[in-house]
Amino acid sequence: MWAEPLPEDCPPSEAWEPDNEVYYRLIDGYPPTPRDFFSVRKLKPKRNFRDASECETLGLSVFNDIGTCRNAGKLAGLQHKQVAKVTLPPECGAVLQTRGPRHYSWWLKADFDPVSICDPL
Amino acid sequence: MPRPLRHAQTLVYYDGPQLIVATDPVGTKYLCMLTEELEERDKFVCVAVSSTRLTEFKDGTLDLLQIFYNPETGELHEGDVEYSADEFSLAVEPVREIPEHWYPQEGFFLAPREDAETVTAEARVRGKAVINFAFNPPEARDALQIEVQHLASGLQIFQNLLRHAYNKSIRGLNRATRELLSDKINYQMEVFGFSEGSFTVNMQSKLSTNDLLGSVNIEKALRLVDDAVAASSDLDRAMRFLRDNTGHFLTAYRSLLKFVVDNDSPLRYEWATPGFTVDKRSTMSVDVATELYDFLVRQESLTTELVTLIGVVTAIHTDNGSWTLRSEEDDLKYSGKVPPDSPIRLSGITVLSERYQFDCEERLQEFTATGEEKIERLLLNYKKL
Repeated sequence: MWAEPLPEDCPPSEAWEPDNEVYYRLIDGYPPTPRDFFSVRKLKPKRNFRDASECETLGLSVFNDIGTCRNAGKLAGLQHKQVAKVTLPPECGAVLQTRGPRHYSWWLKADFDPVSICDPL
Repeated sequence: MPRPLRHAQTLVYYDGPQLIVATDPVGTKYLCMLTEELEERDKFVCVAVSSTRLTEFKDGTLDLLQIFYNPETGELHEGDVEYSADEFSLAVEPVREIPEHWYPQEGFFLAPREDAETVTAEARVRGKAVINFAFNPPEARDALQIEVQHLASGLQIFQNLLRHAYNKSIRGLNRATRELLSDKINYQMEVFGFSEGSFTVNMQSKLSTNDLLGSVNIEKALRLVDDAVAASSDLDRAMRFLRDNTGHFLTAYRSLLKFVVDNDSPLRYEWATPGFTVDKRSTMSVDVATELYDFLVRQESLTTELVTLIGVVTAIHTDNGSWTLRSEEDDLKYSGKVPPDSPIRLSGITVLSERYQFDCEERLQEFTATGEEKIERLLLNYKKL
């Protein structure tokens, strides 16, 4: 079961269960809260995302490189956020590189607590 | 009056588009950055950008703050994306000043390959090799226009190069395998679109992936072209590569270099097959292309190819030295001529019954205006088998 209802063929078949892989996510602040791991679809249910599939909007954006994450945090819409490290175990869900070489989408499993593996930096 | 902008490309995606390229009804490009997420709408700040400035930014050489702090038109715009709209619709109006926290922090550079759309993702979705080939002649740098001739001949030249690269890559295989792989469908590409707001042509292989690893046959050709472009970064290395890869491939490569030089259009393409994890990207400046092209023009011998044909001669014309032979290998007819000053006489050849070995020199003639090719084949030596 996934944290949010996913459409058919989501996550894509190429997505994989991470093997304690390190990624970086921008969170609203310390301490992290479950809301930091809500998908953009959950936060904006009526929003039309022209260039993103429904499956992608239900994934969480993470980067596999802290520099890229910090760089993204310079944009106006993300400046208020803080970089956090997440080490993803297999039971957390599935990941797939989706945008650029360092951006990944993470589809979260329902019975996994992402706050527990979140390390604000 | 609000100006409607259409989404053209997402440059940075993080839980939704954060930085995008949008265009207005007359084709002016804007960089738009998400600033605030409000109830039922997202606020964006936008700045009009020239193609040159946008290219600088995409190449990672321009700080985003500079673009917003020093807009080329002296104006910034702000607008909302309504959540309830059926499509991404951003209507903007000029604004005199914006809050300080709407500016990006200093030092945001879009690193090459950081933009939000990847060829690899496209290749996976399509199950085919995908190539994005960028044209950037002078007429396209400040306006969305390109001469038809530039576009058409550039595509044809690139397709020819892939054909010859592919044929070269399978030459060393045994005959049975070569026959299986020789069909033109293995290297043919088809256009499926353009990247919005640019003349980057999106192409895919005609063939889909042929194994679980996601490889596609045309990959062999693309790797050879990549090797050629990579070698161009160092002159000595480039010369070695050219000498190691003589023949029709080099002729086709020379045509591509000539296209780059004649049209002042730097070479830039990226590609992937479904099995890739990152895009492969190749670029070459006009200056480098000029140097290599001049070298190849002086070294005509590098572009000739020696071939041996075995089969039955089906026709000879002693008056003009022309001949035709049907090859046993592929059952195709090959025609050629005896060089003007050659001591070879065709009158000694028996037509339609005896087998001969013809040693020939082939030279590819390209008509760069149309991209068409013709092979000139000269008989150097022959013997009856």
